[in-house]
Amino acid sequence: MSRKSERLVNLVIALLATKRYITKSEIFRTIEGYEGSNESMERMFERDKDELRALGIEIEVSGLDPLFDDEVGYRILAENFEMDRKGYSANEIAYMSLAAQLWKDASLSDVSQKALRKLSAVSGPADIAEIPAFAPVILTAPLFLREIIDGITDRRVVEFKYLDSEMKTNLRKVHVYSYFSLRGFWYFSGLDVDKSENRTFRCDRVVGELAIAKKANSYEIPADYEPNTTFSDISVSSQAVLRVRVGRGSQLRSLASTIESGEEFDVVQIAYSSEEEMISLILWHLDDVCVIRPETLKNSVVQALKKLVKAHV
Amino acid sequence: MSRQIPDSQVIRLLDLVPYLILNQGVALEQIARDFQITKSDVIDDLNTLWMCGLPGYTPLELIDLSFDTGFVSIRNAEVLSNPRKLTSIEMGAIIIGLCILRDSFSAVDSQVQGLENLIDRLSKKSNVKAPAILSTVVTAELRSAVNTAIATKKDLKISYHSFSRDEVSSREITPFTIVHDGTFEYLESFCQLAQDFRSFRLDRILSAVLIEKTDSQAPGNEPKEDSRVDVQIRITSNSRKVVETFHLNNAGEIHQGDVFNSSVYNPEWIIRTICSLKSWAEVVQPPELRSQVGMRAQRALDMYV
Repeated sequence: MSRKSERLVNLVIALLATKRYITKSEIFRTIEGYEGSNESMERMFERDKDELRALGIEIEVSGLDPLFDDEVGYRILAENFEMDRKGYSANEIAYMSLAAQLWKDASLSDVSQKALRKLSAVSGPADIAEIPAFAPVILTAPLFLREIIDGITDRRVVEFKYLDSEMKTNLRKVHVYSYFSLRGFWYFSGLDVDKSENRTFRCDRVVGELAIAKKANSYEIPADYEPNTTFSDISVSSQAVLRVRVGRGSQLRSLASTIESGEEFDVVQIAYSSEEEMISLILWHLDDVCVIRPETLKNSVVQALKKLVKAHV
Repeated sequence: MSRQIPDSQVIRLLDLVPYLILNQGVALEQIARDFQITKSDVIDDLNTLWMCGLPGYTPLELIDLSFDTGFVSIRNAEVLSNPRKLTSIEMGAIIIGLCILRDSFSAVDSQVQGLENLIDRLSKKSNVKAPAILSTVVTAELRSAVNTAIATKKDLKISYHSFSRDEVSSREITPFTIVHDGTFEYLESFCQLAQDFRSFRLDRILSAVLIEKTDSQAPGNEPKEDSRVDVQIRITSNSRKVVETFHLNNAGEIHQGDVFNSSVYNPEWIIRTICSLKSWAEVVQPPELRSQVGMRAQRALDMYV
């Protein structure tokens, strides 16, 4: 294990130090650890190259160069390998470390641990005095957030099974453009390839794993893309007028456009776009809320209550 | 498909070199802590690095390490002196973290603009997008009161909107940390009223005032009486909403007519939840709770006669 790590580190050092592309035969001749027949060294090198790439290290390959006969050359460009440390102030690095620490014991903690490790090699302890006392925060996010972020960054297609509102799962293929977190849930949005329409998906409705394609750059993110984060179609907004018991219904009151005070009940007006959600919210408040209008909403609530009574006798 | 990059020794070695260059004379124990590995792993890593260097591999080209005193110094490792670039998911974790930090300061703080710039620069350079929104709806006053209380170990007097009872109550609490679940923030506290640990959703705290510490009893260790109620619920319609409300994990295998068990601490919550699900689910057991649901729905229905 150590011998192999040693060879790989030596390969990285050599490819990083060279100013020109170096060929396989040069690598076999000069880099410690390549031994045996030519064929076994070839196999060793192919595996090493794949392993370094899997670890996220980019190896440049030269085109066929007449100077090297038909041998290709390899090198690692410093700008692809190293962090641009000059671009950030000590305080910014400290903020980045603080940001990585928010994930302690959470879904991306192994990732942020590695980031922290790198950041701690950028500069010594920053002037923490300038960073205000901050209450500790612990973050959580869906396990496959990393696939979502990788998908957007490299523009790779993702595929997953998604649960619809009737409890059926179907396979979706999506060009992810954006991700966000709202009212307690993580979402991602982009082009649903089979439907040829932009859609938004809630992460916890993905059933099982989310698979990410190997091929990068397979789509473009429209420059003017804005995710629909309100989930509302403004054109169908309706107004509900409700009687809400005094001292109750904080949630409804926070949504209200107007509140008229009364003795036992206040009259509250709320704009809504989803009738389903409005009915749920009214039912939740039981006898603290009574619908005045519209008639359709009132009837739906009454119907639901009748069914509930009937089901629970 | 691999879910994560394994913490291979190669990656660790490449990260170890710039770390050692910056932290000359660092103790072996400190390295073990910073890299979250054992001390013998650290020694194994250093012994491996000892054999690495530029082609030629004479003492002139090899990395020069000394660590026999228990403190590590390094020379002759210029090629690897810069830390490696952050991967896109590492960058993603940092950018999301920075967005949370930015939103956690009140808008007037001077840090906000600086963080905004930093997020913007990181995102442009790495191609990793920042989340479009991370919603928080907490006022600057509340934010500052809570942060000060935690930092100075003071108590808070809060008025809190209890969702399940739909009541606003006044409580004295000792806050100790904020937990963030992606959008909502919860204030983990010891509540004097309940004499127990409670978490309060930050956006449901209507107001908070700093108070001097009340002479509180240290939180006791005696077990609390288990006040859970076991409830049996029948699904009467194929609805994702039911599954999500009760956090049923095996979503693909649940069908209309199925009965599942759920344990709840608060009967009021289950009554209101069942009602808000219209008639997609009904309480089967216990009978008291079942008749409670019917009764409460009837009372709400009486509003319309």
